[in-house]
Amino acid sequence: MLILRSGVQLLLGMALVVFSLIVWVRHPTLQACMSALLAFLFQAWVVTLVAGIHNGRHQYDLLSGYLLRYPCCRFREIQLQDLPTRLPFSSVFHVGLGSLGLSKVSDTLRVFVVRPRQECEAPQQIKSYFPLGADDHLGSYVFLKSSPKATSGIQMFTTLHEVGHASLGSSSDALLMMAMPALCGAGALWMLLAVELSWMSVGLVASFAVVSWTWSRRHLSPGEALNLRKELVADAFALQLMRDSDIASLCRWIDRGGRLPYDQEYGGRAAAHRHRTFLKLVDERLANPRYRSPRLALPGPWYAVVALALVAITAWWGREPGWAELLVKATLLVLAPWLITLTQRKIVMRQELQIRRFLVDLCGDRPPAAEPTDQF
Amino acid sequence: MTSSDSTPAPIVAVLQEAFPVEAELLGDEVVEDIAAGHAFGRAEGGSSIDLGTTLAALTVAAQFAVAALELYTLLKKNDKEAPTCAVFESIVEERVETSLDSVQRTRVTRICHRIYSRQ
Repeated sequence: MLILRSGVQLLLGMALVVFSLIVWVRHPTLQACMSALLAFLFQAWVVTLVAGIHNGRHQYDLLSGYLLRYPCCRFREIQLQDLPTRLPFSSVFHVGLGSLGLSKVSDTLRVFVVRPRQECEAPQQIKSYFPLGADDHLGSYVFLKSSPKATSGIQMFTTLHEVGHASLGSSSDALLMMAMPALCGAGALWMLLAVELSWMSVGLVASFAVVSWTWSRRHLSPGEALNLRKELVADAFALQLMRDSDIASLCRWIDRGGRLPYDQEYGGRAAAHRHRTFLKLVDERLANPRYRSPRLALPGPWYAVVALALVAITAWWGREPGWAELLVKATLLVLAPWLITLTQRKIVMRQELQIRRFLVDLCGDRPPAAEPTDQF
Repeated sequence: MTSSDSTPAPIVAVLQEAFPVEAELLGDEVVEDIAAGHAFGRAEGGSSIDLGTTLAALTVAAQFAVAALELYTLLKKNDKEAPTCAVFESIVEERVETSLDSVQRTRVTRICHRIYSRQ
């Protein structure tokens, strides 16, 4: 079932390509083939752009929201591999099978313990900042408040939970989910330009836009539901890595009245839901020693099925593109967007360099794991 | 919390004994920071586990523990001998200006007991 849902998600993410391929089947010409290729490039660019915007934002937040806010704190790096876990980290990070390649987050993730100095304000949260998509040049960062005690289940849990967020960011499924609203919008626009204009075809494209917009609003917008979902995935990730003794310690802590701290952005109802689901996950983990955290499944699958069906039906009104139209699309798609993406990427890489230099200063004389180069 | 800077160790112990669940969540180092009077602020962006509520509760508890410890020391000094735990507790409760609910009363009792047992 999960594979089916992931398949629908992937197909809808590639709605443009699906549309263009059906048009190609109906009009088996070179122009239609070129159009499908351009559709693939267009959707790849949309995903890259969404990831780029998120990653630029992530770095801005990291610099202005954390590093520059607490420059007086003492940062001490700890090695992820030193944490006592049931499974090696490299075996449990989500590996995306999309167009973005394999994830190497366990190599790029850095964990710091942030301690206040005299007369210095310290952050009140345990934080993680991670880029979206598998990108070896961009680092994920976790900032703890104290070194996790190996005997404390809750401290191991909170540490691994934040590490789990970085794992989620590395998943191409997660990226696809984030990019889905933009992909659907771009798909509707593309289809409108590629169909024989009639009341029926325009109505179908409009229906696709409405269904995918409703779906995005209800399940994919970065609101409480999606955030809560991310938290639960990170919880599951932490539980699969924790040793049995740590789970037992965590259970004792809960029995003594402990409740998971949650972000103040969530309402009380979301927090209660999260706590209930967390307890269920703990029970599952206790019942199954070989427990593996679930991959992200598509939320609201029926919306996606209807949207995909609308794409397939609309494709019957698809017309064979002319050479002039293809040339205009190729010029617009190949030149301008990639130039924007490359410029944006250069900015992101510069910011990454700045972050690493800043962390070297905050840590003292410890060199960073790897310096990014200007070659990318 | 100026006086806590000079006496963080007993306050750390009182906090760890009176609030074991919260202290385990925060970790020993953070409890020491609270006892030392460090301030905490909110970072922006990214994903987070917000310990703000727990930190605020323990900060207030630490301030209360410092005041209670000072009061105990004064009582002991003036009366030449230490007051009993029940007397100490009732004196502390008298000094608290707001009316306490059952949870707050339990917390106050717990802190008083820990201070009494450690002196």
